[in-house]
Amino acid sequence: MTASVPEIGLPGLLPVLLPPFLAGAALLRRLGIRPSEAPYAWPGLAWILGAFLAGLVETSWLAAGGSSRESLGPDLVLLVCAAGLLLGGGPRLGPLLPSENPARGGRVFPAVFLLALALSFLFVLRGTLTPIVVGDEATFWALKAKVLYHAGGWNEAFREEMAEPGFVLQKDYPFWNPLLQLRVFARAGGLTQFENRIPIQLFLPALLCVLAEILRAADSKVLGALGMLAYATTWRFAVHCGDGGGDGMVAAGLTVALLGGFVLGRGDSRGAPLAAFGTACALYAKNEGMLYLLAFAAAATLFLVMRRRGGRKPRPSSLLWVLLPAGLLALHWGTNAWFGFESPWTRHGLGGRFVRQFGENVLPVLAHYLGILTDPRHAALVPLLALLLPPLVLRGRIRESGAAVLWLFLIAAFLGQVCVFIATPADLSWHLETAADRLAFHLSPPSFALAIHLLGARFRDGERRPPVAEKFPRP
Amino acid sequence: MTKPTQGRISNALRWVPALWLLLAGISGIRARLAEAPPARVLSRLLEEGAEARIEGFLQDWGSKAGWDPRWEGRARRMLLRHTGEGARIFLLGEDPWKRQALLDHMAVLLYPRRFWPLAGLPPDWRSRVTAIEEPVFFLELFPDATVPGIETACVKVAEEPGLRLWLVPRSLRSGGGK
Repeated sequence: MTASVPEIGLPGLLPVLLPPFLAGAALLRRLGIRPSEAPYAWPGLAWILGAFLAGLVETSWLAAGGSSRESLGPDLVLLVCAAGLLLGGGPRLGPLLPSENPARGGRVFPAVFLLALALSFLFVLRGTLTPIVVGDEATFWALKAKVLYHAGGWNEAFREEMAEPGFVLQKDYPFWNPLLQLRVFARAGGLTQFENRIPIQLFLPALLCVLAEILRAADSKVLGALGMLAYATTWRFAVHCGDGGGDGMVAAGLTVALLGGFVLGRGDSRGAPLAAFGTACALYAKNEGMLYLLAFAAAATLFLVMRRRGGRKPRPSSLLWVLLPAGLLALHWGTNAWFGFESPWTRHGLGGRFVRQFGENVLPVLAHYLGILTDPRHAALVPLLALLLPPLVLRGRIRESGAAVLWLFLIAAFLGQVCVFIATPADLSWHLETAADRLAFHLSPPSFALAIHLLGARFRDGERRPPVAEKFPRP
Repeated sequence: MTKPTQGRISNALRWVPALWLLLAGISGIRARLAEAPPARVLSRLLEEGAEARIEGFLQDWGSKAGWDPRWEGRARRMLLRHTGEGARIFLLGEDPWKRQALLDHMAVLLYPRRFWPLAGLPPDWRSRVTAIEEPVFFLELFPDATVPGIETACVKVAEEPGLRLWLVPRSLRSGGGK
């Protein structure tokens, strides 16, 4: 009768973490991004994109009738994919985001980056001390992975177990997070209580690496370094380093898409696949990814409408990358339709509930969001700065600057979150208390990128001060 | 002729049994106090020959303190040690918040064991548990929360063949501490 808890510890996790990382590295090489071309972002990108590939391989494995308790098969498929990507080679295109002002702050930035990264790993280690027992990481994500492992695959047993009301919550959330946890269970040969969180936690240091690459490209490296340190020491970042939920993954996906946007803005073709993979990651991480896709579409449309003269036209090959997030969305919706998983938000009519609850909920939700934006603990007031700065700094040039797209995206995304809370099917105050902070955290990396780049252009390390609008070439 | 020191030693030695008795008395009182509510239920179960049914004994921390993860950790380890994956476990306790919290935690940590929360033993508990083929376990929460008739009910549960009882009695109550 005695049951033992499998523990594989950190060394035992290496075989779980290494194949996705290698696959991510191979994909980056194929895209023309070598470690020397994106020294800060590369390890982070390798993990995020590799974990994305691992999720797709696990999905294919399960869809083909493979066992969820098998670890060797999916790993072999992943390594074969990596080898295939490496065989194709990759172009040499130079630095991803070349620094325009490398003279000052040259030593400060790497030192601060290492400090921030070390802090993030400390937060991760601290997070591994407690078992996954409460909150969304337990009832949404870990439990879904446990049910999948116990059922042995995507079979009738899994369907029956998931159909039980009130057991696994938010069943309609994407499978990426549970599939990464499943890899740990399969390797351990049983249900672990601590280690399965680690692949998810690693998205936070990875996010920091990608954000560092963006902030390093700011005109003021000192401001970039300060911004990075401020981000890594925010209370919310520390919390998510210890969390096995999907919020860190959404933020990481958005940061990769943001890096892609910056690279695209400089006319580099590598930006399109990065933006596509980042968007797909955000969509695969949590349903909020769809909200941000809509927010970006709204921001880009508004920008195109309000700008005065024609901008650079995107290459047709770049547009093909849109198929990646579209395909991912189709996969997510298809899986949910197959298992009959429904979102509690859409079940009883999202639009109708929004209209009915608008009058009652709008003020409390706006007040709560104002509280988050003006709370220094949340993100050091940077999101508020990012919302207020562009019209003040760019003034009349805002219509011509690429920064406007990011600014409009932030406004649309925050408003989208407000709308979601207005239409909540749950108790409003409970929902705001438990979720609004986490959702606002998704938008911290774009807020930091926008605010630091705008301020950096204003308070440049060197003597020459170019017009701020030049910092953000039009897309 | 006796030395003056000899008298002092023999006088001191006379106190040894007295001290012994004193200490024994104190420990007896302490034991009696310690026995108060938890051991009373346990003794009664043992007297009625139900020891075979009792597979666990957990010490509750009292109901005044907040949530205690250490207590929960002990409960988890005990259940993990003594129950198979197919176990069905009823959580008995009056406080709905604590019951639900423990239910959520245990359901995640001890999956695939299944848990049901109950405010107390329902009148039809026999038919309920006999309908379940796997062994059924009862984990009683916080008896100090005065679930009516819980003590008698526990004995009945303990006597039932095929059932296992986890008794979670209250500890010495001093401000809700352990």
